[in-house]
Amino acid sequence: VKGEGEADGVTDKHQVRLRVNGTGHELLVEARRTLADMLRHDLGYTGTNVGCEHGICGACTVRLDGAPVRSCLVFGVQADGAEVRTVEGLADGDELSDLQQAFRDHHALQCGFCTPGFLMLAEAYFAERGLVPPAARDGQPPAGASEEPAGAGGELAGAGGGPAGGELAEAEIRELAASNLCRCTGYQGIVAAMLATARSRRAAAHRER
Amino acid sequence: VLRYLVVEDCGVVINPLIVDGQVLGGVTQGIAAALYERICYDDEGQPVSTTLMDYLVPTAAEMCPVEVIHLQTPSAFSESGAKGMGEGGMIGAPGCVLNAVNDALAGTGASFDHIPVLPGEVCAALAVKGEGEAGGGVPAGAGVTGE
Repeated sequence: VKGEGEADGVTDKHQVRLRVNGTGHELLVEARRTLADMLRHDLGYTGTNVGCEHGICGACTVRLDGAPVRSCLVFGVQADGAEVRTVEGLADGDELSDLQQAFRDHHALQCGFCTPGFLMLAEAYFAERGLVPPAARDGQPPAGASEEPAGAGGELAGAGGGPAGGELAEAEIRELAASNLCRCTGYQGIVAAMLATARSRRAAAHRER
Repeated sequence: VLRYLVVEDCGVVINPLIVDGQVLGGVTQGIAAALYERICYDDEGQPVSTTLMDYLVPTAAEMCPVEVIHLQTPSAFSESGAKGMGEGGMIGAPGCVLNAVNDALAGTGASFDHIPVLPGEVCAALAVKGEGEAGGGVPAGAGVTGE
């Protein structure tokens, strides 16, 4: 689709259909539009923050068909037909998700700019291991939940196990958190919040078995 | 850095989460200044630390858990007895880490008086000292203080 007098290929617009947090969207975007900018400027999901704009800081992390991606490194047109989850999809109205509540309880944020990225990174990681939030277990699976493996082989090492297992799990979570940058917290609260959430979800999953 | 302990006194602690958060964040920036972060320029003055990867902001993997102990000596000059507390972690950490590096190098003859101290500089300093002992002289090396 071309605008008036535009035939240079750069400003050509392309049709994109996608779902964001379960809501369907259809829009026209330029090929050069990043997913981050498309989410923020075209669709109004401004919870996704853009930091370095070249894939280092991870502030713009969202889930694209379940997987964590730097949305500044993905073009909007690449999300055609995809299911995108952003930070706006975590809370239920005014009620924080268990992960968000853990971030609050552990003081895992100060300025908060990196927080949406860390939250979506953690949710993608947990989902790969079958550690879904309580609401999802109650029969409202988030998109992508059905395709997520039960995680027998990829379960969080040692979560819920003995002291040695706990240390192993913390190292694993710390490695995960190293994907993204935070300038305020020193990461301690972020690692603690992710670890607490992983353990409580693991414990809840065990109780249901 | 395997372990880091802070003892600090910000007077009356009003919100422990925020006070700890400021200390932990400050320590991280201080350790970063001591071991990782730097702004480099080439010979023509062109900045070459142009991404966060070149500047090298530390990630969670570079940080160890930090323990904080609070002394609470109330300030006589504020209504709540609280003092400022946003800076301590950042100010103390670089000197602390540099001293730890020099302590680790004690006996080798190498020591540093600048930050950041980078792995390559430590290796180079040790190599220079090794040659120096063998050859009877110590070449003046950037960043290596005299014995």
